Amino acid sequence: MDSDREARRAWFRREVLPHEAELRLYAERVARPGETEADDLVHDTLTKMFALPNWEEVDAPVAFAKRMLRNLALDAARRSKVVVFGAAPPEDHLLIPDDAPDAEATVIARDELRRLVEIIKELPPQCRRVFTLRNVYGLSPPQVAEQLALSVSTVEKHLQNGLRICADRLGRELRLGGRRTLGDRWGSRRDRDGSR
Amino acid sequence: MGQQAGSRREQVRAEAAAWVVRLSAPDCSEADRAAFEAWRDASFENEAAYEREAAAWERLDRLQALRPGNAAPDPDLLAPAPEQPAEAPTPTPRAWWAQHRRMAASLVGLVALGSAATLGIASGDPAYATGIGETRVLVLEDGTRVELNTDSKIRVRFRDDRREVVLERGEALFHVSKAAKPFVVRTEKASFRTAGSELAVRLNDKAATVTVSKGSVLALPAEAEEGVAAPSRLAAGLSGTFHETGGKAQPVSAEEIARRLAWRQGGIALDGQPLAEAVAEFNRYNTRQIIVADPSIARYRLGGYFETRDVAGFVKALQTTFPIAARTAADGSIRLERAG
Repeated sequence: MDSDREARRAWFRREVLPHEAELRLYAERVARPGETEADDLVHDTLTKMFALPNWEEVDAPVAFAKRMLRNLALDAARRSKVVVFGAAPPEDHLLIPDDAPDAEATVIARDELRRLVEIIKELPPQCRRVFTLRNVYGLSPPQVAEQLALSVSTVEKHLQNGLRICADRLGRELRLGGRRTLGDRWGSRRDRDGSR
Repeated sequence: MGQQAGSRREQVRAEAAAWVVRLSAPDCSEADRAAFEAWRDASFENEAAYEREAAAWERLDRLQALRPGNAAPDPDLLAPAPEQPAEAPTPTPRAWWAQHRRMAASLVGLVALGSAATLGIASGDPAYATGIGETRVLVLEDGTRVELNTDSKIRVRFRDDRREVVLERGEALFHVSKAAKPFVVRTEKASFRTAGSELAVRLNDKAATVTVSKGSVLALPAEAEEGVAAPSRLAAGLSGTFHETGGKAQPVSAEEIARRLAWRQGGIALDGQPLAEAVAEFNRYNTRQIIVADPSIARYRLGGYFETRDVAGFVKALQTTFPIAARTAADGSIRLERAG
């Protein structure tokens, strides 16, 4: 039971979470002002993906998630009794192949570190200081509190808020291109899938 | 949906983030953990949100690569000051070096025996290391960028006449900045000298392998210093392997170089390698070891791209592709046998 849950989490992290940015781009196209917000569609889709009873059998999790997201948007539109002209954009129009193979999902851009630094730099100053001491230097929250003359609970609050900002920023960053650096051999499968 | 949903989403995510922060604190108690599990198990929404925040927190762990070796913690290390480029916030060991140079020099004199002596290591030289499954990016004081692969260690010894880095174990990729002072990567088997290039050096038990992807490198087998072997020049697109007894070089395609460097993207790329070799690659990155228990399956050749830490995915792929069965041994290792 526990190991099944563990496998589900691993699958979710490997197959679904890395595609959050693609889902979000798609959500922005299907979300309708006043009815649905892209962030809510993504959040609810992530939840539903995690809750899938037969997650092991999903062949192309990203494509599956997009269909799910689109249905959520259409449900919301029906509920609001607004006449929808035209359907949601066909998935083919997206730049990103909707059933990106495994490697695509797990590739992390080469300059990840640089981007992380940029994100940290944009945090509010005190939050940034707390994050630097905790995540760069590895100080514990009480040690950070001592160095910055803050209470431990304030430090944890800063970490919580900072993580929220970072998670949303990271969730909007497309992770592409890893396979390309591996040359044509590794790029060919992507092309095949994309032109299907 | 609308605003109501938005605030619910934000609340769940904020709770998830608070739990990530709490669970990562060293003083996290059993009671905290139990409360967390109760919260997480209350809904899939909570659990999915937690996974999302935890994954972001883990990615932020990479920031530890920026930690300067010996300096006191500086809360403003990453302050968005215009004079501080994002690429190189790593304070360099230079100043520290100036202070400790004399002490380090005297330590060199004390080290008498063993490989440390043959490599001329002073314990005062700043060292950078990664554990199993970790990678790390460093920028040295001369602008050279070093990417450390899993279970690797370097020691930085910049001197007046040369920029020297000792690779003590593992594998590293060096983007060497151009400078008049030569840059030297030393290993027990050979040294690699360059004025500016891109080279990857990998150690195993018996050999040091260098792969040059840009510029050129002068390879000096360890004996060369006693005048036994001659140095050889390796241009971009060449790879050299150096043993106790000598070395040899051969051309490698850009594709093969990319394959060997797949670890930079967290991947293992296979292009017809035998199972035994593929398994050895996975074992470099994971404490959970895979054992090829039946020699008759060791020669299956594999292709594909895997995440370095995805042992389960790799083993599953093996089982669906080949007549291979996997069994978890009492010590947690995975034994591969012929199925049926």
